[in-house]
Amino acid sequence: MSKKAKGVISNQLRKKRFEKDEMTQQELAKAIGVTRQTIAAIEAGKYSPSLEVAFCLSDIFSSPLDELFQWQANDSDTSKV
Amino acid sequence: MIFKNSNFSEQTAWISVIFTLVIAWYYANGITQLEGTFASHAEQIVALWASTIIASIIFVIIAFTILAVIRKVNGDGEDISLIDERDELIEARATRWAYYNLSTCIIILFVHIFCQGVITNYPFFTNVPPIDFLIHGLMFSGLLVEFVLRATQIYRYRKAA
Repeated sequence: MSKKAKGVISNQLRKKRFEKDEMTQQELAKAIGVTRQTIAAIEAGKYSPSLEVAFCLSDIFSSPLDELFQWQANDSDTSKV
Repeated sequence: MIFKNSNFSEQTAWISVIFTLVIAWYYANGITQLEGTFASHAEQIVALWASTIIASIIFVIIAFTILAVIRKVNGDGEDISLIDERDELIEARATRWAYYNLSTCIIILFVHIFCQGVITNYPFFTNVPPIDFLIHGLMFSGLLVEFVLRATQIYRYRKAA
């Protein structure tokens, strides 16, 4: 029996960037070694980063992961087994 | 503008899509000017391959020069060697689609050659010998696979992941 995770990941990246001296997407991208377009995609909720990138972001903003990323499960989908 | 909001991998994919269309047109145009089959006029087909390779090199030099100028004008100083996890994910997904496509093309080529050999009055490409069909078919399959690969990449980049 398997259960496929369905839900939406939201994030506070944009807010955290502005709180950190209005850091630009380019500066953040350079700090963690990804392209600016990847940061833009993460902020727009269109791309979920790997755990490695998520932990790097957590480190840069000195925030725990669950403060940066939030998971909202879609109950109707997760109940299907 | 698309180029202003894209990274180097996506820009390269755009160039490759245009490249495959131009080279497919060039090669198809060359085929229509061939006067014989591979068995009787092999040198013509080899010359067509050589000219296609030269045309490809010229196209790539011009396209990447234009891209370098556009990037400079836009002030895009991003490291072009930087390929991140999103680029790799998009390429992996696109490659899967491209190789489904390649497998299908190869199966179609061999089924056609088999049918041409065993079915009397087989209606398709009756005047094209199997070896010629295979040679040109593989060339177009390669271009189609490259087109699907790069078009899928562009679609994924535009969709964001």
